[in-house]
Amino acid sequence: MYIAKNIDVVQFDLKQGQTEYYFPKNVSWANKKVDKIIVYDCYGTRFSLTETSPINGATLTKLYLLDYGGNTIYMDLYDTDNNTIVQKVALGQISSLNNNPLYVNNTVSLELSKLYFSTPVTEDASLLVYVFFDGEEQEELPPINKSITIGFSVPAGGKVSFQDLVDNYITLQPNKVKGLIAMYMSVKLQGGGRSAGFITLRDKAGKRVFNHVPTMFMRNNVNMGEQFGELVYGFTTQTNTFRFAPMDVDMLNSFITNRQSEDEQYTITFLY
Amino acid sequence: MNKKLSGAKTVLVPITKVGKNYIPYVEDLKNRTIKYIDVVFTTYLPDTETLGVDTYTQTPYITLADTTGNSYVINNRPVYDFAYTMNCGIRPEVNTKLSLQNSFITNNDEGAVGKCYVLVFWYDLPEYSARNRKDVLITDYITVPVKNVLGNVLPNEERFTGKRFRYIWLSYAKTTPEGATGADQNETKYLYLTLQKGSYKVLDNVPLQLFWQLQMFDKMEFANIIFDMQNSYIKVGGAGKATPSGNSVFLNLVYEKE
Repeated sequence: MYIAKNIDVVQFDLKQGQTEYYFPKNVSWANKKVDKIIVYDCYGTRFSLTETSPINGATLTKLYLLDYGGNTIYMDLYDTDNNTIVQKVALGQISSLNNNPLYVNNTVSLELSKLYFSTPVTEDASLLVYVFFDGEEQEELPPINKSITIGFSVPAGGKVSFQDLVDNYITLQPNKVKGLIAMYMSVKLQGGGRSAGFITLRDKAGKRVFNHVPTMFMRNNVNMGEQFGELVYGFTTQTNTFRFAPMDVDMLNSFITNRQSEDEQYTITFLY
Repeated sequence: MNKKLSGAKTVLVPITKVGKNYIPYVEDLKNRTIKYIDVVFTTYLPDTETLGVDTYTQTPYITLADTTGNSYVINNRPVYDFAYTMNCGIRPEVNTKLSLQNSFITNNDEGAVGKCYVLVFWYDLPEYSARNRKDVLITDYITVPVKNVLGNVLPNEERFTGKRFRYIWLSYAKTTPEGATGADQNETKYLYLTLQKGSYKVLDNVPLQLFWQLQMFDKMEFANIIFDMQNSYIKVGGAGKATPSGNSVFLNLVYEKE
């Protein structure tokens, strides 16, 4: 079973008329073993709501709609010896809606690797690509001894530190967090459960990366529900609880952001 | 049970009456352990003008007999339990050697009489599959223009020679990387994929729509199957009733890095 150690995000700012987008050079995973890649599709959250980037507030594109609108997007990856490791994988296959990460298991050439649009976008938008690196395969998961669950609201576009939410007693313990489960629902709509936040965890030792990870990655069930009398089918996100190598979390500097245009209510369970 | 897939054969089950309709005997499946069965609801079938059962008004049931012929390993189970694309990709296990000629579909729908059910039998095929040898995989792609009813051959490119395949993903690409118009969901419903090694059909007439696995819980993982591109092809169902669109099927293929 895969145990994540580091998760970082790359934001691609899509421009009208442009068909190729190369990976940036100054990334935390340069020359490190990339385990897998998932492309974030905010279409899996609230269909009609706008979602913005947790990095700079840019409007995020709904990949699912982009794809069906004719903008088929492909990814090419090369290793650091310039060998092809991925040639034209359709992004829809490796999106967060599909529960099908692209397994890389290699260092990646940032000079050659890129996204390619068969048809350029007609309006500017941004796309988030999540890179899991330096993780490891283990035969068994580390046992979960305890958990703490917190429920809270985050206003539209807002950000809340976990220090404000987690009991001081827990904060002072050597809190080796091993996993997260996220559930959420619209304060307004009282249902749906597919609104998203982005969680950043800071490691007290400063060695780990866990940047702006969508709470969608931390659900462990298919979301199906009713909204306005219409059965709304959800999308698979994960079939296993979201687990990572134990991290001593700096709760003060770890936070969740709500990048949707409505207030959201979250329930987050930290697994220890 | 090992979930990895290797061999598959599509069998058409003629529905001649309301009541029991027996599955035809298939020599290639004799003594093969059947892992899963997929039922695909579609109109145009491979190599026949007979129409397929694409919907029903009364629930059909499937009964599968083991090789003694007397014991039912699956008894009157609703057919839709075996519809992979309708069940979020969850496949009920069969995991038995079957006596097909003693197995049957119980049809309760007059509208299905004169049509055929499409059943895909997945079985272990050790002759054309293998264990994982490498951790590093290559993700590649092919596009197959569907210009003919028969024989739309897969591109025979050297980089695929001798490769051992683990995943095959269908996308409804609007535009392929080469700029061609992609085959959409409606067109793909009538397409069938055969992957052949030499003269043996590793995957025989498998409905292409099964390879569209977005949002399926259980993605299809193949046991490093081997096949020849130049002997493999896509055909259009309906024996001429469905017109080839000329559009291109886009597939991602994932195989072990040498």
